[in-house]
Amino acid sequence: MRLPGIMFKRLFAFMDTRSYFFVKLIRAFITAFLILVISFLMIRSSGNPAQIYLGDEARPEAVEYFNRKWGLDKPIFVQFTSYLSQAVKGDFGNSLIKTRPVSEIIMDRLPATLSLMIPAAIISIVLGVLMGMIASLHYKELADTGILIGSTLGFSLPNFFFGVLLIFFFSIVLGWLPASGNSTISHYIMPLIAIVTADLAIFTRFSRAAFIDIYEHHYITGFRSLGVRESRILFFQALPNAANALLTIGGFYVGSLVSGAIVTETIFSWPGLGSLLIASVKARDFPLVQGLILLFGISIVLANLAIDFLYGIVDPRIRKGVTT
Amino acid sequence: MTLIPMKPCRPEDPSSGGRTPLLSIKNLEVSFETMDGPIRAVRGLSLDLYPGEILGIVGETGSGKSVSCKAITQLLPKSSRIKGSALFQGVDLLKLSPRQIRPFRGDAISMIFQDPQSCLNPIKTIYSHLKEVIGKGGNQHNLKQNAEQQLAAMQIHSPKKRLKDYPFQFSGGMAQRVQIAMAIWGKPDILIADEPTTALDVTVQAKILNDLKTLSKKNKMAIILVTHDLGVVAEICDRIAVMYHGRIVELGETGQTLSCPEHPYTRALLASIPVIGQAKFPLKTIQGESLAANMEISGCAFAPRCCHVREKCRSTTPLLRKGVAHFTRCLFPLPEMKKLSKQRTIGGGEKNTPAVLCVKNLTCRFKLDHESGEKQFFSAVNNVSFSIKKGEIFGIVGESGSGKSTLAKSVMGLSPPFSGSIHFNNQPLFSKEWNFKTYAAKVQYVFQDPLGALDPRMPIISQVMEPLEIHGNLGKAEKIKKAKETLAQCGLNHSLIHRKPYNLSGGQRQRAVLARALINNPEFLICDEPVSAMDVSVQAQILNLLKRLAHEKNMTVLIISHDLSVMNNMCDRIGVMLAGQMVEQGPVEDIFHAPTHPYTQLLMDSIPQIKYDRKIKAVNPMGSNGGTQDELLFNVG
Repeated sequence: MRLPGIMFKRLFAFMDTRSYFFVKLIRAFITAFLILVISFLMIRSSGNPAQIYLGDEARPEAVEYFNRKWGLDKPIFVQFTSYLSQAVKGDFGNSLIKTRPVSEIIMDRLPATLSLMIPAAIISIVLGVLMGMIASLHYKELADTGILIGSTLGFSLPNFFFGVLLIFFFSIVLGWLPASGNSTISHYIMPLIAIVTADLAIFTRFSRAAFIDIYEHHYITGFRSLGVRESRILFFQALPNAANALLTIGGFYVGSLVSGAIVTETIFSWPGLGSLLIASVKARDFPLVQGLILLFGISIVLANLAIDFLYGIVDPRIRKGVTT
Repeated sequence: MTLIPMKPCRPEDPSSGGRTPLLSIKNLEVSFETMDGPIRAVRGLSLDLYPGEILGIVGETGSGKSVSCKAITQLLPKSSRIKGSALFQGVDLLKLSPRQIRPFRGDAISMIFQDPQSCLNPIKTIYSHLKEVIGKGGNQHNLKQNAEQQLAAMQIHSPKKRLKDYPFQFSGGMAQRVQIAMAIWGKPDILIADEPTTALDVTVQAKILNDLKTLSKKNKMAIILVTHDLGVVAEICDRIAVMYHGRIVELGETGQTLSCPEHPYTRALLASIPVIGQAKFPLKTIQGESLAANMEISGCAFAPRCCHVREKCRSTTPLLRKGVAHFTRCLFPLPEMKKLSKQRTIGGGEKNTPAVLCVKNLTCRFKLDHESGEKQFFSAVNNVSFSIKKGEIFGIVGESGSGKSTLAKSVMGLSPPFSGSIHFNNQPLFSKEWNFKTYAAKVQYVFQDPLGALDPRMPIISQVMEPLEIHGNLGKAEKIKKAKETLAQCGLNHSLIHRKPYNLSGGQRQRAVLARALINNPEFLICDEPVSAMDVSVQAQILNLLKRLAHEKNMTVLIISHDLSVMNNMCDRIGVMLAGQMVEQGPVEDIFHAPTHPYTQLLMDSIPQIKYDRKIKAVNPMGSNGGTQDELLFNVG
C-alpha cells in the first residue's frame, strides 16, 4: 500500500524540523507537570483531609493515625515528591471508600466510557464535516439554512432534557429500548443519539465556515477554470485545507472524550468515568477525584500534542518552518 | 469642430481580413443579484476573437473586464445572471450546463489569474497541482514525466526537484510560470490572462509577457489579456478593447488606437499615465470618480467626466461605431491629437539649501531562524547612504524585497538600525536625547493601502483630527476648522468628511490619509508606495496633489515606489535599490537618460512603454489619417 509509505516519509520529514516538535513536546511536559501540581495542591487546600473524612468530632489519636497512614504528617515537599514518584508509576493511592487502588477503579470504568465516546466522536466528526460541506456548497440556500437551524437546535437543546425525553418516549411509552446500563448494543442507541445531536453541531458549524472560506480562495477558481472535476476539487483540494481548521477544534474535542459525557452518563446510568466522577465528588473520595482530574487533564494535553503533530503532517508550511 | 463622417455598423475588426472569429461574443450582459437590487456589471459586450491574436481588454476597476471573461467559461458565482451569447466552434458557451461546459475549460479555454501564489493551493506540492490537470481525463500514465516536461517547457530549472516543492517555495514569477504550465497543458485555443503580471515586479513582468507572446506564436493560441495597464497592452497586444462602465468604448488595432484614440476616455487614460522621458507635470487627470457598476445613467456613461461633453451626450446613448480606423462609442469622436506642450517640472530643491535628512552607512538586519539552529542575519538594508535637501522630493525605486520599506521604517524612527546613523535636521535619531513624539510631529508616514491605514469605524474627520489631539493643544472648534481646511486642501469635499472609510473610493481614502499626515504641517513626509493600489486616473490625481502640496508647504518628501514612471514625474532625485544596497543615485534626468548601473538599465528596459515611432506607423495600414510624428503624444526612445 502506498499510504503508509507516504505517512512514514512525511513523519520523517517532520522530525527534521526539530525545533517545532521539541518546543511542542516540552510545552506538553510542562503543562502535564502543572496539572500534577494543581491536583496535588487542590486536595491539600480544601481543608484537612482527616477532618473531612473522620468528621469534626474525631479523636486526636484517630486524626494522628489517619495522617500517619496517608503520609500527611510529613513536610509538604516530601509529600509532593512521593506523590510525584508514585503518580509517574501510575499509582494514585487507594480510594478512601472502596479501599481499592484508584488506577484499578478507573481502568474498570474506562472501557465503558470509551466504547460509548469513540463511536459518538466518529459519528459526530464524519457526519458534522459532511453536513458542513453540504451547507457550504449550498451557501445561503435552503439546504444551508436548514442545516444551520437544525444544528443550532441540536446544540442548544439541554442534554439532560433531551435524554429524559428519549427515555420517556422509547423506554416508557414505546418500551423499545432499555433505559439504563450498557450490557447490549441496544443500550448504546439512546446515549449515542443524545451525545451526537449536541456534538454534531460543533463540527457542522466549523466545517461550514472552513469550506466557505476555502471556496473563496483563488486556487479553487483556478482548478475549476482548467476543467478539474468539482468532486476532485472538493475532496483533494478543499478538504485537506479544511482539515487544518478542523484539527484545532478536534483536538479539544478528542481530549475531552475521556471525561465522557458526564450528564449523559448520569442520566442513562452508564457505568463510565463521568458518572464515577459525580459519585466520587459526592462521597468526597479525594484520591479518586484527584486521579480522575489528572487523567482528564493529561488526556487533553496528549490530544493537543497529537494535533500539533498532525498540523505538521497536514500543512507543509508548518513542517518547513514558514510563517505567513 | 469638424466631425468625422461615420456610419453605424457591426463591430468587425478592420484587420481581420475576412477571417472567421474563434470566439464571438454577442450582447453579453452580466448582472449580480444583491440585497440592494441588481448590479449590471457588463452591459452589452460584443467582441470577436481571431485565432492566434492577442487581444487586450483595458479598463479601470469595476469596468466589467474581468467579469466578462469569467462569464464566458461560467466561472461567476451563482448570484450572477448572464444574457447574450458566446459562440465557440459553433457552440454557445453561455447556454451549456455546468456538466457540459467542463470539457471546454482547460482544453479549449484556459485561464490564469492575478497574484499567482494565491492561485496555487498552499498545502499541495507543485506536482499534485499539475497532476490534477494532466490526469484530468483519467490518463494516469507518465504523470510524472509529463509534469516534468511541462515545467521544463516553462524554463523552470531542475523540474524534477521543483515538482516536490510547495507554492510558497516559489517566487511570484515562478508561480505564474507554474500557472501557465497548468493552463496550456490541454493545448487550449484561447488563454484568458486576467491581470497576469499586476502583482509582479517589473523585470519579472517583462519576462512573463515575453513568455505569453512566444506561447501565442508557437501554439497558435489566442490570448485575451485583461489589464489596467496600457503599457502592458502596448507591449504585446495586437488589438485593444477599452471598457468603461460595462461597455466597450473603443476597439481597434493597438498601435492605431493608442496613437490616435477617438474616445475622450481613452485619450484621458493615456494622458494620465506618467511617461518616462517627458517631464510633464501636473499629470493630466480625469475629473471625478469612475462610474460605479450599480449607477444608472442616461446618455453616455462617460459624460459626467468628459471634458468635451455636449448637451446631446447626456440624453443619447452612443453606439459603438466605426470611426476613422477603429470603433468608438462616442457621439463626437475626437479628431486628432493636439501636440502637448512640455511643461517644466515644478518644485525641486535648490542647490545650497542644507540637508534635512542625512542617512549614513545604514544597515538594518533581521535574525533568521535557521533549521540547524545557528544564528544567521539577513541584511534588509546594507550600508546605504544618502541625504535629502529641504524642499526636495527624493524617490527610492526597487523591486519587492529590495529593502526600501525597511529603510523607510528606520527613517520614520520605527525600527532602530543595526549600524549607521540617521540625522534629521542635524539631530541623530535613536539617541538618548531623541524623542519619538516630537520627531513624529515633524515627520509623517503615508502607507500603500489607505483602507488598512484608516480606522474602519471612525468618521474621516475624527481621524484627521487625531494628530491635533496628540500634538497640539487647540480648542475643539479650532481643531474641526483646521481638519476641514486640510481636508479641503486635499480635495475632499464637505459632504464626504463625516463618512467612514468604507463609504469612500480608493482615491478619496488616500486623500484622507494624506490630510491626516499633513494636518500638523510636517517638515518631512514619507510615502511608501502611495499610489500602487490605484487605477491610473486616480493615481494621477493623487500624485498631482502630493506634488502641489509639497511645493506649497515647502515640504521635503521621501517617496518609495516600484513604478519608475511614477518616480520620473514626481522626484527631483532618485536612488535605486537592489538587494538592500543603493546601487545608483542621482538627479532624475541622469538616472532615466543615462543609467550607469546595469540593474538600473535593466529596470529601464523592462518597463512596458507606449511607444510608436515612424516605423510602426508606416506598417500600420490605417496610419494615413493618424497625424504626423510631431502630433503623437507618446514618443519615447
